[in-house]
Amino acid sequence: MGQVGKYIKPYVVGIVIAASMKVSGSLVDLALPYITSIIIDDGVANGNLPIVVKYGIIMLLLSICGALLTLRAHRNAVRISQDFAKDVRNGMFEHIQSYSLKELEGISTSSLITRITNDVQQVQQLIMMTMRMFMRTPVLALGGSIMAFVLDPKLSMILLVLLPFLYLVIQYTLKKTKPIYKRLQLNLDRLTTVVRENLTGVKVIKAFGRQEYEKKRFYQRSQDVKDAELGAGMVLAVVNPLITLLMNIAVIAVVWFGGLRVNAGGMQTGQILAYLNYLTMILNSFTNISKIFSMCTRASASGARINQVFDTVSDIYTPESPEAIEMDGAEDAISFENVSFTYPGDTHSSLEDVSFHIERGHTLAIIGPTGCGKSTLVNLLVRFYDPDKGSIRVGGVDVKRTDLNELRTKVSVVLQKTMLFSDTIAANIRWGKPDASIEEIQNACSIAQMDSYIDQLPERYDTQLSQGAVNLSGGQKQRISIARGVVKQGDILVMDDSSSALDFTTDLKLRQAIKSRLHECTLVIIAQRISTVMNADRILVMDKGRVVGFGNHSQLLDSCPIYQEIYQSQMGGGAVNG
Amino acid sequence: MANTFGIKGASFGKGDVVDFKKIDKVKVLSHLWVYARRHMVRICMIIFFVIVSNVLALLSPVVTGKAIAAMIGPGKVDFHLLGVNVGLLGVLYVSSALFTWMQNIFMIRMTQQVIYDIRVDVFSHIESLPMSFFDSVYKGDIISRISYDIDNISSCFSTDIVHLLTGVITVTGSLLMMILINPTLTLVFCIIVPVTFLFARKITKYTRKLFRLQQYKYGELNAYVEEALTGQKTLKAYCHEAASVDGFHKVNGELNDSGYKAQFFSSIVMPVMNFLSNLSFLMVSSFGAVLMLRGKLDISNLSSFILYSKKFSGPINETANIINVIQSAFSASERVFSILEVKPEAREEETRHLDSVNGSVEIRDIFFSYQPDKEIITHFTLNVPKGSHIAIVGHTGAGKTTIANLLMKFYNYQKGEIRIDRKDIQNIDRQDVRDQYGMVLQDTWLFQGTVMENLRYGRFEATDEEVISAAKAADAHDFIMKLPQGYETVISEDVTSMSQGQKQLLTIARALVADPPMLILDEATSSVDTITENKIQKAMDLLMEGRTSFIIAHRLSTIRNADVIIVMEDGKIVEQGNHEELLNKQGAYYTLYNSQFADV
Repeated sequence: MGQVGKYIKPYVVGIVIAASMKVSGSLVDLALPYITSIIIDDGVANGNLPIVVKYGIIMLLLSICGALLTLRAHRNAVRISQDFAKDVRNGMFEHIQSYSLKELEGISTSSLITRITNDVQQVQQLIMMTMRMFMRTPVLALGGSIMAFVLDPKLSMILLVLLPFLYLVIQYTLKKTKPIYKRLQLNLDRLTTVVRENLTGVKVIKAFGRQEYEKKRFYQRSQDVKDAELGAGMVLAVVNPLITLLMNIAVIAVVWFGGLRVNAGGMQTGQILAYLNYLTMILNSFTNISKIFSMCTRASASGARINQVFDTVSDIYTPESPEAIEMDGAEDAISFENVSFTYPGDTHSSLEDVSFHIERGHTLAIIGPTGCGKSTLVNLLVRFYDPDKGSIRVGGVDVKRTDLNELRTKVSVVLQKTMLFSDTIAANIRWGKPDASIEEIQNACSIAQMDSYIDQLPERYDTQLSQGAVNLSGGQKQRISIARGVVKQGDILVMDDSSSALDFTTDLKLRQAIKSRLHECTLVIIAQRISTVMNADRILVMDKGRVVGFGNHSQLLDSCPIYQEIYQSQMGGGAVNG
Repeated sequence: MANTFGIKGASFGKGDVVDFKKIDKVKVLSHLWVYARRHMVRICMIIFFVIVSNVLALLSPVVTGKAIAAMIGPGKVDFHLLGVNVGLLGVLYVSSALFTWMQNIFMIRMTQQVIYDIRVDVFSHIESLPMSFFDSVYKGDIISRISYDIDNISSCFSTDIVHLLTGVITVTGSLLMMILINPTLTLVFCIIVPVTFLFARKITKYTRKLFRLQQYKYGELNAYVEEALTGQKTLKAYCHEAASVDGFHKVNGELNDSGYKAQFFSSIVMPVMNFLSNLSFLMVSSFGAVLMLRGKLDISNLSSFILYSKKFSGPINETANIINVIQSAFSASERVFSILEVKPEAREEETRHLDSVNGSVEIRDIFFSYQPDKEIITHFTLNVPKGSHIAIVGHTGAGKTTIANLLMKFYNYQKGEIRIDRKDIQNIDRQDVRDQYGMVLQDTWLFQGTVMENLRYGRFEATDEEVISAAKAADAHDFIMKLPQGYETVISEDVTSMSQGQKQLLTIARALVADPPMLILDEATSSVDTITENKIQKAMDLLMEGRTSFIIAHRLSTIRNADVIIVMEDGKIVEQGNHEELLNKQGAYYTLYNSQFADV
């Protein structure tokens, strides 16, 4: 049962109560025909009006009771199943927030979405139906069997003979459907993936005219879902008629052997009639059996998937007694010592024995060819991943010994891939500092060179962005995300190639503003443009995951071939003075 | 942009911004009918099986009764009669089981086919929708409609249609029998029926809103999770975990509320109906008693009447029991079919086709705005002779990407004219227009698949050799070979071990493979370092040779060799000419160009 079991636990008592109320409600319903027969046989047949009235009132009261019990049972069933689902979803979402990128990539976003919605719903359905419908089945079946045994133990041998067959049918169904339902949920994941990709990549798909191809991909995934559903459906299609047939064979046997016993004088005809009634009662309880099966197996497959989410634990977390980062006393803001790192699942290392340090208040620029490991440095600095070897210190403290939130608050990162959320501009910027005043936000935007644009919007900072902020240009998005990083007022500001979509003039103004208005801040700038880099206190040149140069502009221009090459590639023409 | 259910206070995933038309009951049913109609034969078969298995079910008590009648007493049992009837029972039961099985199989096959058809139709329709649709929807909400809502329709289809069918047969049959036995008593029995229907109507009407809300909230929850998980890296970088959990609690709580209300109010239907039927039963027996005392009814008729009245209320109770499934299926249908109501991007006048083009492009006095009140492009006129290279530069937000979007017919401009080879593209099939261009975008997009599949996306006929040589030209071959399975490594947009620049190189290689007549490069190399850029420049030059190309870039080194450079400001062209001419002008381009060498 795992974690899902833990979430059910608080509700077990409630579930039992609701189910027994539902069963009592159904029992009342079963009692009503009995009273009817009294009304007809004793009252109406004899023309005895008082009996009709008396039992009529009893019946009325009983049916009120039954209705109230059922109502209450339903209310509880709904409440409990809804609350359970809410708890599990909350728990899952919270747990997923503790994942590092490794775990996220491992399970995949699409699958997590399916798990937190669809899979939870499967379990929720089962819990609700257990209370509202399914409990009737065992109660009625058991009650009917007991009554049958009491009535005639010898004839009931037939029921005993039936048992192993019933067991076989159940066993067969569960064994067959379980893997199918597992596959079904997996296929749903893959369906979601295609839909998500199409919603994200629509521009590329339209540009290449690949709609037909994407449709085919989607058809295939839908076909897989359909096949799984059909596979399970075909197994379940046989369950209901088969079990009914088994029970009916028992009916035939009872009629035949009953006839023998009546002939031998061991039984009366009326008893056989009563016995058959009990059998019908058992039979009727089985009408939902295939639904029960499908729900149970599907929910158990889903339960396993939910448990997997809970059982996946990130190895990146805040240690028990974290060390505080005291920037003021520290000499170096950041230091890397012999850091090596390989991405999970990758065969080649992305960083190899990287060491460097940057003093507090200084500016470090990182430059190097595509794929040399620049962004990886950032990923390790704020512990999206932990290095395989070596150590990283911020303010003199090993990042592994710090509080994750403190680390990520002190180190403000503007990521390379701009990600804005469907909310107002102000709310997006407040991600950096939840209690930021409007002045602080305006200030951050003025540093990011975004204030004049925002000021001309009708709703200014309250302008609503859509998902992915498609209503803004690439450069505008980047500048909002820079403002978000600036407003955080971290001790270290890291900009991972985050002004690539800005034109040079804006980029220049941005750098000047950062330099003059955030002068106490340690800056780390990853960039492609030599003009962005050349005035940094220190420049780190990377190539193939190694440090190939570290110094200031003129030093590197003298000693570092790769730096020279980059410089040449951009400054070849030189400035034109007309 | 009406938004009635927006979440207040949640940090993101707010409401539904698409202007989905609200569709009425008739429309939903007519949409459903389209799918049901395709399965008329199956439906007829199912009805047949239902009738047969019901009749068989009605016969078996009679046969059992005859068998029991053969047991007269000890030593007097008629074993011949007993044997015959037991045999008959066996035949009845086996055939009834077979018919039920067949009915199940037909039902499941039909349901799954209908679901598949709806899914495929909705997805195909989405593929045909204009860019503005994608700009305004929440991905999670659409995912929810395609998976969860359609699933809901399916569960209604499979179990409940059989219930309803059986119900209709039983109810009409019983009513007929009751009228035959005693019309007066039937009238008494039916006194309660209007009350029942009124109650059912009221509650269905009430719960419809609740279910609509529940379904809506479900979509919102999905949207929230999707957005939060997609932005997980940013979320972590900004320690936004706690806030996003709070927001999730809020959305989740709202789903819980609406779900509870919808489910609860639909769950009271069954007990209430049950009670009402008991009440009418009471009335029937009391009135029946009076009738009997007056000698107007005999006991056997009364008991049959009561049996039939029980049969009458049985299916009604059962329907009440599944009312929640039907209701949620109905609101799910509304959400699903409202997508089909969104108009596709293709226009009626797009009747003409383009085969092979020379590649001359004329843009005449274009006006365009995304939103009615804010013009992005005004008076844009540009003449592009065949094979020339046009560079578009300017500050961010000047409208550079918008021009590319208009060339590609991603959006429809309000005024003006764009012509390819002197043909107005308004009248040309938009896919034909898009096929003329190879487009490389700043935002990369890789789908889940192998590197090879991703690269071949531009032209499926490309051989492995062609793909590999394109990858080499784009300087992507080396790092691809370092991937665990080389070209067969499965990648996706979420992959973290590949750098942004490397992803851009892959998309460039993809365009090289596609080999289109014209090119649009929108910041295609913004995340690529300049050394690599120089390396792939040769490949790009080769690709662009003789082809009309539009290049949007900030790095002015990339565009220096363009035939015409246009400088855009606020949606207008402010300068136009080649590199030397513009520098000599000492205007906007001059400032822009020199700013890249400026020192802090």
